[in-house]
Amino acid sequence: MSLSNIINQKSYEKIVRTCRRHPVTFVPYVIFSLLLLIAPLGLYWLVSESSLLPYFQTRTGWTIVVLGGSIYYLSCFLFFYTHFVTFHLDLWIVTNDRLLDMEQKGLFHRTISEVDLYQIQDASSEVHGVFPSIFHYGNIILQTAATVPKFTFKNVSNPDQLREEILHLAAEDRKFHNQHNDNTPPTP
Amino acid sequence: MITVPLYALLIVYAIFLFVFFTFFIINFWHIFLTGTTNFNSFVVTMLVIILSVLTFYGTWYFLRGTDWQQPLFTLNLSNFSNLFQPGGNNNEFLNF
Repeated sequence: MSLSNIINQKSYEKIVRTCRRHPVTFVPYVIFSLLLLIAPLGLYWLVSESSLLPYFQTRTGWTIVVLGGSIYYLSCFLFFYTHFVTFHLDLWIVTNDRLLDMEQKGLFHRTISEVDLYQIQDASSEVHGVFPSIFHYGNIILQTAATVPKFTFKNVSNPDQLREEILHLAAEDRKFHNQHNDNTPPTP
Repeated sequence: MITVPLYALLIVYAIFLFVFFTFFIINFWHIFLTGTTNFNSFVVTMLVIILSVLTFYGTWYFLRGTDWQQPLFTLNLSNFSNLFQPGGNNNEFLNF
């Protein structure tokens, strides 16, 4: 299966762009995962200072420590991977006909919403904060005439450029719909 | 008197590994199913696989000489029966 199947890509439709959150927004998860990886060192220091140390030096204690450590580290890797997948699958797809928001809220929770390009009324982009200004990422907020009144691209790279691209595509789509004044699909 | 052997920990570990592999496959399947495989997803998947393999190897390496038949703890059931009797010894249920 591919992305085309998930969004039910129409025959005349072509994917212009797929956007994800900027990689910098994933850095806090990386830092947190690294902290989790070094946390057992602190625990080791606490145990080495306590009276529990002789127990962990026995064969049974050592086995518990190794198996417990293994479970802990594998859980950390799984935690990191799950967050990466959530980050990776949280994406926006721009086609020549519509915008799709695939929001991965958890491993078993995905929301897909879409809006036709010709229904976009207004678009604004915002870059707010130190890191967004340095790394050029921000939000694009689209006002639409559809049932979803507000469509937001969160923390995408180069929001100004993307906003212009979306507005250009929306203008093209609107032009087509005005010419035909019906629901026949646009030709690519 | 019930003696719980050390390999009971291996059973717990095996249950954890089952959960770990299940979630790992679900995660990987999500990426594969949506057709969003790219360089980043490949690198992160390989990183997680390599680190997991290293962890498995380390676990095996540190525990390779373990006698799994030795007792983890001994459960003294006779103390349970004396629990509610006056003067019963209820201090030593588990002997490590």
